[in-house]
Amino acid sequence: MNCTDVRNHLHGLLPGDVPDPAVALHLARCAECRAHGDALALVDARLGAMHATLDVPADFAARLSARIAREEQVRPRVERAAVERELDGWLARLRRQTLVETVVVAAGGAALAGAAWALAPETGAWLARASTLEGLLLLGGLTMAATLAGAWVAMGGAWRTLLARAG
Amino acid sequence: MDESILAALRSGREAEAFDLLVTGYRRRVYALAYSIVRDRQGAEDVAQDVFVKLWRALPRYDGRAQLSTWIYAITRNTSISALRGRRPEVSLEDPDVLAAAEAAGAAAAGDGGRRDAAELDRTLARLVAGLPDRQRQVVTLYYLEERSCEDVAAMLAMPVNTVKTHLHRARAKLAAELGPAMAKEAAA
Repeated sequence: MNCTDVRNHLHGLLPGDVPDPAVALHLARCAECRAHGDALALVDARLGAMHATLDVPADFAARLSARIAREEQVRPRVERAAVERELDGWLARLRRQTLVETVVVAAGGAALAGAAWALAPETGAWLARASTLEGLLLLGGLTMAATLAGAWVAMGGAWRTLLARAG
Repeated sequence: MDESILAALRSGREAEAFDLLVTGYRRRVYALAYSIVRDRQGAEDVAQDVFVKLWRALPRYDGRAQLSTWIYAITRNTSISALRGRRPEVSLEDPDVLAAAEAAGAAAAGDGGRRDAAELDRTLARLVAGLPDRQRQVVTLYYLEERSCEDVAAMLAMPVNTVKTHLHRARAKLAAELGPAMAKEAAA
């Protein structure tokens, strides 16, 4: 075991760990490694002592209670949680609404194309061609319009809820 | 401890759950905040902010994430936000650590060795302050948290082996620099 091995072994030892016997033998013969080991022990001892004086201030809990009491007067937590739940509900409804609108518009578009194909082959042929690019654009546009309308309604509801809570 | 907090929460005793949470986690939250913001007042401010956030969020805690993981994540984010807000003012030589070093050195040494011990601790505090961020955080938490690599790993959200690697490198560096630094100060 050379000095590098011994020092690596020492760095990996946590305070209280017992060094390998070969390391102990090396330390007994090598003054430089022994000094390094002593420096490590000194680092452990002094850092432990220094950090032992760092602790939470004694009045921490009292100051926290006072701060929470002040914040509760301005906006009670229960009320805040209720508003947050209300907003969460609106967002969930908006997501569901968007999904339903997409499905309805897609199904309606497909039904319209099918009906047109059956009733008027020429119009149906145009719709069949349009079902590539123009169809996708049309579908996207309709979905977006429906989503915006839904979002408008949902945000209006959320806003009215907030105003009601604030008032 | 977490089981008692969760039991109180499930039975609707939120105030009791919060008291248990503050009692059980205040030291760890403070220590984690301290390891990041590096001064006592800043750590206390962060710890207060963290517990206020927990107070607000507790009714919505559903138990899916482990309580300690949730609390440590909030603490890390709050500490980093606090640090970003005042980074230019942070000194590499934290006056609180230096004061603690003075106090610890004085307590450890008799009158004859008092000055030497204080200088040693001051040098060590300066060396710790100069470590890379992750190493410094690991070293600080390791000695604050009763030398448990597992606790430090949970607080910093890193594997235990990574904590040991940071600790290994930091201790090697501190030990290697402590001797020459002391010799230089003694010669000055």
